[in-house]
Amino acid sequence: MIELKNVTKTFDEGTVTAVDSLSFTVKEGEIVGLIGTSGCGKTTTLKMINRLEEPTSGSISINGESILNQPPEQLRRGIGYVIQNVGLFPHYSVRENIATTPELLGWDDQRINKRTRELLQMVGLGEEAYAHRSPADLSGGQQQRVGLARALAADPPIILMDEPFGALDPITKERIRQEFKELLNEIDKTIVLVTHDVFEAFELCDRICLMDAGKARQIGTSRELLFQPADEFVHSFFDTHRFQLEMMSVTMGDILGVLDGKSRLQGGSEALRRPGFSAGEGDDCIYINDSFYSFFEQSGSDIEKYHIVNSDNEMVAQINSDDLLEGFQQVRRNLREDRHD
Amino acid sequence: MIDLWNFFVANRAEVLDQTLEHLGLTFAALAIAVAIGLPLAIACTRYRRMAGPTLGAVGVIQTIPSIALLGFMIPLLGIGAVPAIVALFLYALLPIVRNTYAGIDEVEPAVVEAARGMGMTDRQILTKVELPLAMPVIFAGIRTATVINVGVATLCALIGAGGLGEFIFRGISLNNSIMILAGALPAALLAIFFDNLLGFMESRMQRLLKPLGWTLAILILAAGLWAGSSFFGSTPFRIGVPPEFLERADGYPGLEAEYNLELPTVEMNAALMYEALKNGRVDVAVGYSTDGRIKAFDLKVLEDDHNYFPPYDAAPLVRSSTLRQNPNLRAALNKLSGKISTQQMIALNNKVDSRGQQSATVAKAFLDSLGLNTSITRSGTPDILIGGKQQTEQFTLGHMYRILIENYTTLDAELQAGLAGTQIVFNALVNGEIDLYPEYTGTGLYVLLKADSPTVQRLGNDADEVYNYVKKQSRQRFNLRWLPPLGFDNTYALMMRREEAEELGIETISDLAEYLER
Repeated sequence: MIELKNVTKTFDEGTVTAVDSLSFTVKEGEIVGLIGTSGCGKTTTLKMINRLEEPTSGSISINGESILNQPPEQLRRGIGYVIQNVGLFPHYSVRENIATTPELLGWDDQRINKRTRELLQMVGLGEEAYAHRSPADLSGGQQQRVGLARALAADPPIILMDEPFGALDPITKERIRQEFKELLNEIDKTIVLVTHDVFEAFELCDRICLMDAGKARQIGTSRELLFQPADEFVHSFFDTHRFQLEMMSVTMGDILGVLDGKSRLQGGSEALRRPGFSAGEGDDCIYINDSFYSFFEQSGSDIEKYHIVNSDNEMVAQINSDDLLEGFQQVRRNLREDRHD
Repeated sequence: MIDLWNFFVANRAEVLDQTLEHLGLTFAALAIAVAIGLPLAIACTRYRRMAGPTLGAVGVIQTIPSIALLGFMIPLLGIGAVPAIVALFLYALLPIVRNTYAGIDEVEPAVVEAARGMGMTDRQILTKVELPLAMPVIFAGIRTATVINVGVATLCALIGAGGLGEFIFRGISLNNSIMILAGALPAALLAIFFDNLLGFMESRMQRLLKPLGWTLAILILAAGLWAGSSFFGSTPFRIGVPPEFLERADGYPGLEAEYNLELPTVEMNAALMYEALKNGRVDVAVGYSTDGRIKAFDLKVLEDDHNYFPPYDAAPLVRSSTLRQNPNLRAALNKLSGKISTQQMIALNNKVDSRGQQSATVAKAFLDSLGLNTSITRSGTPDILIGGKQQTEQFTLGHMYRILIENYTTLDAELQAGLAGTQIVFNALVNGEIDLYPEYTGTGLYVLLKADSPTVQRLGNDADEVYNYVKKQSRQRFNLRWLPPLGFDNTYALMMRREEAEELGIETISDLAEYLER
């Protein structure tokens, strides 16, 4: 658990305030995104957590212990760090790059070898082909994967990410983001992610902190920020992409929730429960936790019926696209109404 | 080409010696430059405020002409290997500091940030990330410094540090191009060799990093030891010898044989000799008996009790054709004949050497004191060119002749003194590039006419006999005229510090030889 209390950071002898009395908490296993326009203080905030910057005032603690209690180098060895330009060491091989922190921690060779092999596997770079290559020989996407593997090398409980996909082209970015999303779900880390890309934040983060001029305007889930904005600034921040973001923040489960009352499910939920379900021809299968946006992206005109499946791969509902769309509109209305309550 | 080869074969021991000295100077300076330059540059990357002034300072040092820098070293550190190494070190500093700074500065900030973010300490960032990444650039700087040092080290022979410059300067003063090549060629080859070797290592930097580090460390250690030994090593009784004297017929080899002298020689510029003797860098020095510094520095001239040196009466040596074309010239030049005693010449030299007066001023004042006319100064295209060697009195005498010519003829004269050796001035005269210069009869006898030993024996030590002989021979063989002597004798002289000479009871060169034998 990371806890920031009234953290302020000023530069140039107090004339420039980068972070202004910021407080928030990142719970264990949670992914929190810091978003905002350039210069809003999000990167400075991130860097204060691993002491690349020291706060002017306020306190930061990890698991209840102030980060000032240990030397900065030692603190950093326990925190993964991924940055926009990757910053791979060009004079080290891929393997040596990944082994950096374990080496600093004094692991023995055998352990390091085992770990690097594991990680290369994990980020989808087969060891044989890539371990001894130079970073310069890798594509941007591959470099970013090595960057992540390097941050994960010593299995730190916390990972800080600063625009990790910022340097990638849109197509690679989308693909790597998907991979990361799955990976991050598996490894269960506490993560703070800095991005200026709201879609990235909506897709990856459990909660989002929207910053402006060094202050947190609102901290909450993507849905809260979208449907219950704290003020006009938060509301207008999402205006450009509102519809898409709303689709992203509504899940199939939400839609089933509002539709349940209207009995659009055929035969009731219990009757339909079928383990090991796979969709037949002309049908499609959607996970209950998927966002409406991912359904929207995948949906085709030739599909009549959608099967909604839970995380155990059991079918919980069957539904057609018109009903789904109507359900989505209902959820939106409900969420908006909540705002006025 | 064959001549050069023969020279190398004949002088292989000396060539090898000088090459080793050359390498010693180069690498000792380089080692110090690396040892000081690297930390300095690293400090500059850590404390950015230092960077501007530091890089500026080493840059300014680089712009000082190398001869001048060596000159600045003499009052501070005297002569020999130490000031030479210091000067070379200063030259090597710029490429090393600048490249190290640039190399570290150019490491991508993201890489450094990643390193810091992963928990490397400042030292680890430096040694594991910044230095390895900057190494090719740093190495290129060391390579540049090496090539510069090999080149500049040739100049160190001027201040008695040895090296391949010895051949070059001796060759220049004797106008012997084989000898110049014998120094220049190995120096050039060394520069090319090291440039290529270091270039090769640079291109294989990654793989060679470890062995390279070791080699460098060993080289630095060896060079350091060499420098240390030359610095702290016991200094035996040494004699300072100007390059020309080493090769002249009336020079050091004959003197060594005549008196059976046995002492190590240090080759150095004649002008530096007195300073070197005074400061104890050498114990005996070869100089000119009219030099003002003999008195100023309280030096003792050892008596030439075997009469090894011939008389060296000073007289103007003029082209016959110049005298024919300008009928008034002879009379003008002769205004000075018999007018300068040895004591007067010493006093005049002293004014220039020790009191910092200009040769031209001293010359004019002396002519004024003789009641001669000095008021006219002409400028424009010169009719008469007056030559001269690199000695103080040659400048002063040259100015006197210039003033006399301009005041007692309608001609315009100009001085072209400071030529690098007897042979060069003489050839210039024979070829008509200059019209006259002051020469000494003994030099005429041995160096210009290359008289054989029966002739030398026959002439003995009689000043008039020698004068008449060189006058007659010069006219016949070179169509040159010796005008009447000026009245003073400027012989080669072996000098010691008076205090030491008296302490050791040395009066004559024989005494010295005897002392050395004990």
